[in-house]
Amino acid sequence: MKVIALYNIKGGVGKTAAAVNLAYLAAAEGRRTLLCDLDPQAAATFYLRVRAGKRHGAKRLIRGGKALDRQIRESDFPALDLLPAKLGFRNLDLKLDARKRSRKRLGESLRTLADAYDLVVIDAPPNITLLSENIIAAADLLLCPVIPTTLSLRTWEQLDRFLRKEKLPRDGLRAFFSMAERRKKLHSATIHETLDSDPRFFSSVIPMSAAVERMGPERAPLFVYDRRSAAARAFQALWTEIRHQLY
Amino acid sequence: MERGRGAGTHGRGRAVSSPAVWWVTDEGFARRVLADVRHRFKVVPEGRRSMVAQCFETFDWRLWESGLVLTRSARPARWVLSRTDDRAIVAEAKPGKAAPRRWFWSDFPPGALRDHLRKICGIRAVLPMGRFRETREFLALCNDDGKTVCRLVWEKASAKEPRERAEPSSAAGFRLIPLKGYTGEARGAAACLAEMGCRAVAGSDHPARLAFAAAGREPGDYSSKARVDLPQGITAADACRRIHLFSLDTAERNLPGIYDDLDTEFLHDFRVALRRSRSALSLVKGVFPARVEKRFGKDLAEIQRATNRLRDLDVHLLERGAFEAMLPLELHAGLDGLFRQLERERERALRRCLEFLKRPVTMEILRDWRAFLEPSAEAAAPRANEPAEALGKRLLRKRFRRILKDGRGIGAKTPDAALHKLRLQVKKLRYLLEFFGSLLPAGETASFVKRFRRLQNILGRFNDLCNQETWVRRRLEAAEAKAGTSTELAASLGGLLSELGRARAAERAKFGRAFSRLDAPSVRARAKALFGGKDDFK
Repeated sequence: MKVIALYNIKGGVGKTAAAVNLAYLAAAEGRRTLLCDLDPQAAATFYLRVRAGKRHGAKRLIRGGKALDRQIRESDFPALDLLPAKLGFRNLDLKLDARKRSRKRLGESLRTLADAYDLVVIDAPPNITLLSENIIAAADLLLCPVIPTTLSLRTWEQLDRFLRKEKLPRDGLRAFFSMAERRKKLHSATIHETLDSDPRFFSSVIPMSAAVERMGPERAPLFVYDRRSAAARAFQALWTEIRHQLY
Repeated sequence: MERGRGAGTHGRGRAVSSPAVWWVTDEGFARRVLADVRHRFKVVPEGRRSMVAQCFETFDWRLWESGLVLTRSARPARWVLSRTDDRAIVAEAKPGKAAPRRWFWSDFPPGALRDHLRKICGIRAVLPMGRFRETREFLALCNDDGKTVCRLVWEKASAKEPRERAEPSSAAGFRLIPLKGYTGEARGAAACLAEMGCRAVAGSDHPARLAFAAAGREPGDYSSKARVDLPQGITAADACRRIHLFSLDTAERNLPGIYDDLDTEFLHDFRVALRRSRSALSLVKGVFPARVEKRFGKDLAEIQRATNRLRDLDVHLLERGAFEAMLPLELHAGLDGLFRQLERERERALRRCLEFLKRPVTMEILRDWRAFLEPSAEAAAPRANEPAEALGKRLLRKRFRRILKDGRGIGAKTPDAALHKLRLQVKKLRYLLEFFGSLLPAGETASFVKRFRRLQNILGRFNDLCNQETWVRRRLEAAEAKAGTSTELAASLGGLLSELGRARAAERAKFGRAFSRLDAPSVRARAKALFGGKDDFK
């Protein structure tokens, strides 16, 4: 079982769209995939038409095994399941703190599902907390969506520094450009420069797209209603790169 | 609105809570049920799939008896081994280019499917046995969010053949596929179906049944195991008629498979059936007129004799794996030529055997035999009207006494021939138990048979090893007599001979203990209780 975490300190970078669409693509290839919505905003949960739970799930999330399995919902798509976001995940940091080895708890909990899933995709909350550290420690691939702007690139560098400082694993740290607008000169220049200098960036670039924005009203992965759009093709290319990286 | 979502592969590998199928025979009724489901849930069609599958099964239902069905579909082209009850896929494979006349496990591509077939079917071939067409309509039942909470599959199946049949047999039903995390909703849908008067069945109504029926078969309609059910109070003559008719039916049902040379077990079962009848004729004297006993005893023996050569060669060819296991790798080469030669000999033997079996004279024997056995035949024999139970018990007592006497006389230095004789006695006792077992208390008989099994196995293996040894020795002598025989062959056969001799001695060493277990006070007491009489078998 491999774990991919979509993570950025900054919000609104296309993180959830990427998590849902990548998980969809993995599942469409027949990989048993679990999308974990750990962001209390519950956007991924909303996209898959599942209701976020009211009862706090933090304890179950950390316990793993059957308690965790009971929270999982089957999506409408073959091989794709969802662990819906719970409002209770707000309290997760407190729960984690109360336990020893608190950085590794999430990873250990997810491993209890190794027989049931080939891939776990985590939609992580946009902040630096103990939960984020758990997600980072659990991920085989820590995937950071970056908007090709100076400010966004700065948060990417901040993340890198943070991992170094906290002695968190950096081998799996990768990034890709998201919400890119080719017509903007600044975007184009940033993409070119970065792809040339930083090998941790995947070369697939996800464009800013109305098709992706429609995920909200459609409440479905992009591929269900517009598989021919440029964004869909870009996600497909990105998934191919990720697959080569992982397997 | 049709939502183009990939239905069909859902629920794979996930347990479907039973009862999962709701059979509905009337299409109009099914439509009314659907209309009612639409009131309770938002129903979104997810498409329909239609496929034609060819069923494959061994002649004696080995897959079905293991709860499995093997099918091959053309689009998509694949073999599927699935469970009969919930239809979960156990193994699948892409068909290769090979298209043999009949399929042995070794004809399948390596993988899980082939492993399953090897274990279940063994030396039996899987044969095409009817086709069915199945249409599945997938309906998603959604909640207010438009989230699928459960799937309803409307399945319609019908036999594909034969075309001339006016009304094809068919079946239809709903299958509920719950989604993980939404079991409550699935229960609600199930309750809705039940309220509408749908009948839930716990599976076992695989559409393969329809295909089998169209092919003129029914699961379990053939088994190599013989068990004749005799009613209490039946006369000896009637009992024997039934016993013989059962064997004759078995023999005749195997003939087409022998003609087409489908696998070795058709001939084997045919011969066992003949032997059973011949044993019955020789063991149960005085029930049929003497001339009948004499004529058919002779005629059946003649038919059996004509199959001896082919069966011997089948046995030797099947032994290849065992022989190779006995020899080190470098001696395998010598066997290759030998087995190629055997294959050629078998072809000749098959031709000759079929010629014999297809002769009008052979057909006439079987026809006459049946004509005699069918009811209203003459009953002018001294013991014809004796109760079968008394007769059976008397014969069983006699046979058991004989086995004890012969077995007690066997020591370490007794010649092998005595063991062979004893094996035949044990076999006769087993046949008698098969014939008359239904007149004895079932549980007692079973545990008595169990006591015999170990001894029977030892004697059987001992006999096989002796036969193999004799055969290998003859082959070796023939090879040495012939100029230009490869030294490889001689070395392989020599190696086999010494291994077989060792195995034979080991088997014989087990005899004493196995026999003393049988010749125990508890077994003797059980025999007395079962077979009646005053004899304590001391």
